[in-house]
Amino acid sequence: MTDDKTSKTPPGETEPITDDERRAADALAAALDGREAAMSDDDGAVVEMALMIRASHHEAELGAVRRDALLDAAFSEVDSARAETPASSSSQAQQQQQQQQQQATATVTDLASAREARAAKRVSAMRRAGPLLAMAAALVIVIGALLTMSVSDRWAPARHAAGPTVAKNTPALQRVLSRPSDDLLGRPIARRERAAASARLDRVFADRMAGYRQLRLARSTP
Amino acid sequence: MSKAEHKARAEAAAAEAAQIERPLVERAQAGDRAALRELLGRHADALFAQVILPRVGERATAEDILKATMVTAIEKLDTFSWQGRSIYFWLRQIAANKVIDHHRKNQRGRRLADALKNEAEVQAPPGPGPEASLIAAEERRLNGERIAQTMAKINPRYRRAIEMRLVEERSREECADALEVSVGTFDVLLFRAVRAFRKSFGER
Repeated sequence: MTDDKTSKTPPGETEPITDDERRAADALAAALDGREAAMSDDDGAVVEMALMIRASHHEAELGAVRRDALLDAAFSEVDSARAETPASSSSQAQQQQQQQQQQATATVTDLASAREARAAKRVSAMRRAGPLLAMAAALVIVIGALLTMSVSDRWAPARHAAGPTVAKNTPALQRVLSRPSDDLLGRPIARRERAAASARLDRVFADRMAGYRQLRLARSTP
Repeated sequence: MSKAEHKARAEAAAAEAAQIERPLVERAQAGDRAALRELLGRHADALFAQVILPRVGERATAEDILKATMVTAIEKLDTFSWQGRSIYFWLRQIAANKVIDHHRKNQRGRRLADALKNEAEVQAPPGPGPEASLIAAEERRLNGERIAQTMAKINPRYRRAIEMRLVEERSREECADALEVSVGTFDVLLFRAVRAFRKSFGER
C-alpha cells in the first residue's frame, strides 16, 4: 500500500487531513523511530505522550555504563556547587541568620526601647516633680513660719534693752556673782531676731568674763 | 500471588532492606561517599525504567531527571530518617517531583503534571534481590493502569491505533494494513489518537 499524501478524510473520520496534521504525523513517526524532527510545541506534547505510552508498557534498561556516568555527573555537580559557592552559601545562610537575629533583636530592641522610654519618662517626671515638691514644701514651711512667728511674738517678752538689768532684790553675793546678762539666759529668741542669737551668746560670755576679772581684782586687792 | 503471600514477601523484603540498606544509609550520612554511591546505584535502574521514563517518554529527558534526582538525594541525604523501609521510596518521591516539575515548566504540561501528581503511591517495598520483582511489577501495574483508564475514554479506532503501534510496537505498515488505510493516513490517525488520549489524560 502506498502512502496517500492527498488531503482526504480517513475512514471513520469526519475531518479531512490538514497539512499541519501531516507535518505533525511525520514528526511523530520520526520520533517513534528514534529520528529527530522539527515540530511545534503542541506537536511536541503529542510526541511526548506517545513516548510515555510506549515506555509505560516496555521496561527500558539504563545500563551500567550510563548509570555510572550519571552518578559521576551527579557527584561532580554537587562538588562543583559546593566548591564554587561555599562562602556565598554560608554567607547566605549567615545573612538569613542575621536577618532572623535582626528581626528577633529588633523585636527585643523595640521592647527594650519602649521600656527605656517609659523609664525615662518616669525619671523626667520625678525630676520635674522634685522642684515642685520642694517649692510646695518651702511654701508650707514659710506659711508655718509666719504662723509660728505670729504666735511667738504674742508670747515673747519685751525686747531687750541695750543695757543689762539687774534684779534689785538680789543679795550682794548674788549681785556680785550674777552678771547683768543673766536675764538673757533662757529667754526665748524671737524668730525675727534669730540672727542675733550669736550676738547674745557673745554678750553673755563677755559679761561673764568681765565679772571674773572683777572678782580676781577684788581678791588681789589688799 | 495471594494477598498473604504478597504480604509475607513484602515483609521479607523490608527486613532484607533494613539489614543491607540501613548500614549503608548510616555510613552515607556519616560522609562515606562510596556508601552513598552504592545506595544510589542500587535504585537507579528502577527509578529510570519504572518511575521516570514512563512519565516523560523520552530517554534523554529521563536521564537528565535521574541525574537531578541523584543530585538532590546527595544534597538532602541528611534529611532522610530511617523508618523501617527502603530508601527507594524517598528517592522515588524525589524523582516523581522532578518529573512533575519537568511537565510544569511548559504551559502544555500542567494538566499532565497534575494528573501524575494524583497517582497512588507504590506500596510494595523493593529489595535488592528477588524481591525487586515486587516493585517492578507494582510499578508496571501502576503505569499500565494509568494508560488503561484513559484508553477507555477515547474512540475505539484511536484506541486500536495506539495499542498496535505503541503497546504492541507493530510497524507502521502492519498497523495501516490492519486498519485498511495507507501508511500516511495511519500516521495521521495515530497522531489524532494520541492527541485525543493526551486531552483525556488530564481529565482523570
